[in-house]
Amino acid sequence: MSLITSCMAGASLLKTEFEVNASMLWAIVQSVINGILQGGTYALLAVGTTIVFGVMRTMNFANGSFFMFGMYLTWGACYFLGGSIYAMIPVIVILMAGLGYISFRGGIRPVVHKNRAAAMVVTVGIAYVLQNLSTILFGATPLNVASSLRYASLIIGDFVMPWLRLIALAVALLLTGVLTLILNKTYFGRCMRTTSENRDVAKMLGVNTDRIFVGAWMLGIVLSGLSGLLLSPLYNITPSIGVVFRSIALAACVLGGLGDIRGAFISGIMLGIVEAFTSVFISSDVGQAGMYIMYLLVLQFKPLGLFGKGERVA
Amino acid sequence: MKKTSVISLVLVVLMVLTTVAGCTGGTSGTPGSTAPVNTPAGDQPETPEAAVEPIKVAVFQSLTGSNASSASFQVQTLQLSCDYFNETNSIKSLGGAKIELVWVDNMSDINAMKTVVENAFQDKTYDFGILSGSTAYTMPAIASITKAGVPTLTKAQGDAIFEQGCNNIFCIPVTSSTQAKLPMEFLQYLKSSVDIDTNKIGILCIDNEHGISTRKTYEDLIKSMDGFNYVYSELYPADITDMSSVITAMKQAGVEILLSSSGDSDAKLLFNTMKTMNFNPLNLCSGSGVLYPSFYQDAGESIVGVLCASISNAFTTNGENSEDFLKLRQRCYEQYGHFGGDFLAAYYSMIEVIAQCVESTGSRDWAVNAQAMHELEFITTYQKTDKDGNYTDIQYFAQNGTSPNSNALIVQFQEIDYDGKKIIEPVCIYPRANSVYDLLWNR
Repeated sequence: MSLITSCMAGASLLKTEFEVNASMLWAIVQSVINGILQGGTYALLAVGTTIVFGVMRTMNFANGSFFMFGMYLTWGACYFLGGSIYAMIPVIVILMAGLGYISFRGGIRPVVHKNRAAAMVVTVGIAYVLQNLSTILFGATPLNVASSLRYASLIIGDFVMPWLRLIALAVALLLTGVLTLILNKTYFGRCMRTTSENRDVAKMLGVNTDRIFVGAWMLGIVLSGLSGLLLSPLYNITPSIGVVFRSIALAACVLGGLGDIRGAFISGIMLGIVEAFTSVFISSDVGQAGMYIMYLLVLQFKPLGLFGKGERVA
Repeated sequence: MKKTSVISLVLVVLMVLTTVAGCTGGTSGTPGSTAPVNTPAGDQPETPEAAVEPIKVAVFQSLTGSNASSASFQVQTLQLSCDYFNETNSIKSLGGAKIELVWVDNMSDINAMKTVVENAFQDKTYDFGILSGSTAYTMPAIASITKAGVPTLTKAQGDAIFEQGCNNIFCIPVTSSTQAKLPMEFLQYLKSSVDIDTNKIGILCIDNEHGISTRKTYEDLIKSMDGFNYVYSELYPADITDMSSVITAMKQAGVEILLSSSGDSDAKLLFNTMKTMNFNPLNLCSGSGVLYPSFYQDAGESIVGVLCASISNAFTTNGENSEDFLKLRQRCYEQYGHFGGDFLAAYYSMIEVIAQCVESTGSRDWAVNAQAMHELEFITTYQKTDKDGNYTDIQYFAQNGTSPNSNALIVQFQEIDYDGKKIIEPVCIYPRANSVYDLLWNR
């Protein structure tokens, strides 16, 4: 009798232990999923930022503000034209490209050829201008973009993947692939790479470096705007929404190796996973701290970033 | 001049203009409008209208910068309350003086608050001050307010504000720690009336002054209550961009009742992520972010049934009994399409308290009015109890500036009939004595 009781107690203990292990396993796998999906968001922004650095050798501190402006323009496009956010992609691409062109001609071009540090400071100025401009144009009241996918998720077993983040990750992956192809297989890409390596030599080879600069800048701005579009249903749209994303995107750029698109993408995903694990298994309050600790640790051993190669970029 | 240089020059000028757009001094009337809102108009025949100087109130708000979005509903409801007062009332002991709000922008810079307040109170331009509803913005201003001695009202509830020894800052709503007690009382009420498992409580609060004190109060109360236990207690950063990890941790911990306190931007993120991750505990939240009209109007029907702790509400028995408040509420709805979350009743009460204070003293002197505030027994739309716990109309301030007999409320998002339409609004459902609507329970 006591043997049966002991067996039952043992089985019960095993069952409890199995449940605990299953729960832990679920949390680990779900955290990996969460991290990859959130990392896709960071990667999308980081890729845009790293393209600008790769070609122009200047950091775009206004990427978060262009991201925010992309959200506002998406709201405006949905409000006036109606329809899904994905139908607004061409509109946002055109508007963001226009905004990129204006900001380059008005703010960046006068200084970038003479003083790259000054160009960097100009991007900080552009960030403030965009933030205040959005307050003036759209007001301070938080705006919302509707989407039928807002509460929708892909559920596989016990694992959940929100569709909006899944689509953002897919777009990030697609754009990274397309950009890599453009850089390696097209004339424009070769010109970008030549310009990033040595601007004077590129000029001697007949490359219009000014055009390459504006092209890279506009590409970076369009990517920031697209990130804003893809994530607009998830957040309250306010003038300050881009601030946090800016810092993380910059961290992903540096971590991946400045100017390296593949590096920016992989770093974005890595940062997302580290943040997710720190949040679940240590504390949600230190999720971002976990990211930056990893960032510091990696740079201790690889100061040029995971894929950084010094001067050669893009 | 080259064409590009002209474009550059124009853009630089635009850049400077937009950047400094918010750096102006105080502005009278609704921020963003050029028309002056309040013109002095006495209602006593012997005093010429133009001669009556209005009671000037400096309102310190984030009109520009990163926090401007949080301030927009406060600006709307405070200005509306002031306009309504001026149209229907006046301060007779000062010859029919009206109240004029002068907006002072803190540019969303917490570090600048001390200087902004100090500069504003340097001369004797203002008779009163009103601070934004944020403890983070109130704390740095305390030294300047104490030094100036201007009677100042705040909606910020952080306990730390009232532990600084400043006796001219006044808060009409309950403090954070007192408010945090109500959800626990409500859970006890629920436990006695419906079947809920109070051993799987999760606590999730934003990492700011209000969130920290709320979390501590929740933890202490749960520990002291029989039959209650928490399985998860966390803070999250105010600038969080993804809540899926938080939800994962709560799901793993088996949370069935969630006590949360969130800000304005993270409330939407939390709510959306709970929905997408199929996590549906009994959600008893707090923090004004959830009560922002932009949040719950966007959430639509999916928010119906969610419970929230609040300091005030547009649908309480106190509000329903006030003819003036009902008219103001209607005006707010007509003008903005909402009732300002918990702000309308709160700011209406602030204007009323300033008016009642000056009415009682007939003076603009800071010291006289600050002293009068301590002795004032005033009437607001807040829910109040006397020393024996009975409901009363009279509210008062303690020596530290808090209002000890002010109580919090539990509101629930419900679809209600208003003005011939079906609308979704947070309505008071607890304490029952203060509620116009019943609790919806369909779990």
